[in-house]
Amino acid sequence: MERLVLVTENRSNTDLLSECRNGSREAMRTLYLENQRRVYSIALNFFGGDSERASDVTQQVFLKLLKKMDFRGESEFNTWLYRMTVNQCIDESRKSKRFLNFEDWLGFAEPVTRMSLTDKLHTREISAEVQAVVASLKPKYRLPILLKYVEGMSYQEIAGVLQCSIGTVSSRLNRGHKLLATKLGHLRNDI
Amino acid sequence: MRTKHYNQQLSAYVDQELNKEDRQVVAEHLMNCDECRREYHDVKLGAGLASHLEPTDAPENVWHEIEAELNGQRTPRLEAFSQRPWFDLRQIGAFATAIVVVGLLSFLVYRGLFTGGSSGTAPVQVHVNSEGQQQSVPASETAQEPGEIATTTAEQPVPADTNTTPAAETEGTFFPVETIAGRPTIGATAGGSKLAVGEYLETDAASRARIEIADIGKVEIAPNSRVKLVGTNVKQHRLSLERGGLHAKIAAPPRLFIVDTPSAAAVDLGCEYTLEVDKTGNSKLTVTSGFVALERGGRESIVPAGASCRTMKGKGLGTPFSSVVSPEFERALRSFDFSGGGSRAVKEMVDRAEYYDIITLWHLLPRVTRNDRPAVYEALAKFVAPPAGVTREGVLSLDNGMLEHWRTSVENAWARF
Repeated sequence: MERLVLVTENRSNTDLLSECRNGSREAMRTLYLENQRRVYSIALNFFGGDSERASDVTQQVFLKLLKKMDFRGESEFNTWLYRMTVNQCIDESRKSKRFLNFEDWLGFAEPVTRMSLTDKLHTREISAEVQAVVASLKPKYRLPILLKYVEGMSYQEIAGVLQCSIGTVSSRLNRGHKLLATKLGHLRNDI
Repeated sequence: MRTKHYNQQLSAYVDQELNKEDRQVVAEHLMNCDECRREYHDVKLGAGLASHLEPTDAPENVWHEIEAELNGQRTPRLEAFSQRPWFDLRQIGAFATAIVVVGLLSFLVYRGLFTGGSSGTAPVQVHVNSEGQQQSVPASETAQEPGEIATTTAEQPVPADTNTTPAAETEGTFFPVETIAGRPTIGATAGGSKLAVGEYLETDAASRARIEIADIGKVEIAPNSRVKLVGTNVKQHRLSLERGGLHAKIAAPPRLFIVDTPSAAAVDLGCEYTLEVDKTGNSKLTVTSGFVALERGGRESIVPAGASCRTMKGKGLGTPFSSVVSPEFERALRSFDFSGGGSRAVKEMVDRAEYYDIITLWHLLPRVTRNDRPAVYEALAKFVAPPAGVTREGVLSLDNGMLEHWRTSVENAWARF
């Protein structure tokens, strides 16, 4: 409800950022509410549904935005925000590799593959299975998929965030799609 | 001449990122290139799977923790983040499990080495191969219990002479059957080589068989299928596919070979095709060469190479569609054919129609309501102009001669893709 009221005020991200720089806590909260879904969704799907790590990433991105005021207006705000999110996800992913994860090492951390066939027919479970497999892809294939299918971005916008050419986005999505088809071919008739 | 492939553009094609011209070039290529079409189906599946990913709102506490940090307070999350332990309980549990598993494996290896287990003393079974020679095979490669020494007959290919059927029997009584894999059954007999009129050929999950249809072609029966030979004579050869799948390759005059399914009859018009019937009796026909007519209750769908058609038991015959149809168009077509999608589904198809949907559009003309027909006419005319003598009024009033005349133009355009 609170969010609805804030959205109707219809201030642009640029206006809000300017108010944030003047220390307006209300503008910070509005900016957060307007953009948290994008950041959290990318991070949640990047980490295969791990809400703890997605919350960590969301917190870090917004602290850089609101506390350190890292956004300098050198690119579109949305592009900057997605780029920050992607970089934070990669950083968080690297950090966690420093910790020994015996579940991954032993191959135990694959809960979705143990679902029964009946469960798999349920859309939610299909989403969870897709999410887990997407999270297992290399970041270079994972990120274009997340930006395209979670955020609905065009190839050109994805290229802007990932700082590569549209052709590269196209070929990485091509490969990513085929990897998904290979790993989740058993869901062919369920979608 | 080296063919240019478009497999690097398939993702952009599926995601509608290509301009109209490039889209047409790729679509046209897909009609003719099996390799790219296979990749296209994978890319399309991958895109369909990825579209199940969902955006989610961050939990409420994330803002509270950000706000606390903005206020200069150290939040529990950041505390935890900076002091993350090397192991959490789940990891410790997993590590303990690993130690138990490694210990257990070591014990089993130890027992195998020092108590005369299977290594080095594998029991041997003696098999007789198809040439009558005995072969020794480790028991682990057979279904026999360890320790048992048995003499069995190896899986026999169908002897060549069993396919040489007496001339008197080839007319109207049976079709020769060749086992491709496993042990298909004919009637109550496993591994039979003749399918007589009235008999059923059944395959399990590991079996495949090939039926020779007189001298006009062959039909390969997929695993988990049940097929009956309904009748055979010089005028017509007829099978009934009750479940499973078959791939038919027939070179014969039209209407000589027919396959019945619970929801329609597939009438061969000189072609190669795959027919699948699911447990509920619904079927899907995919034509790879020539034409097949699907018929039921006086209604007919002519399905050309590069197109498919569904039928649904109790709901009738579907409308043919291109094998490179977009998921949105196909969904609307299924809604129109089997779920009473009506005008809304027609509008969706008309809005999304591409030039490779011309076969569908032509079939829709007599199937849609009078009110929806002009939109379908316009959509089809955009891709294939009505030939001389075919008028808008004639088509909208379903003049049979004009519809057939236009169909020839549509099929010619289809063949050029």
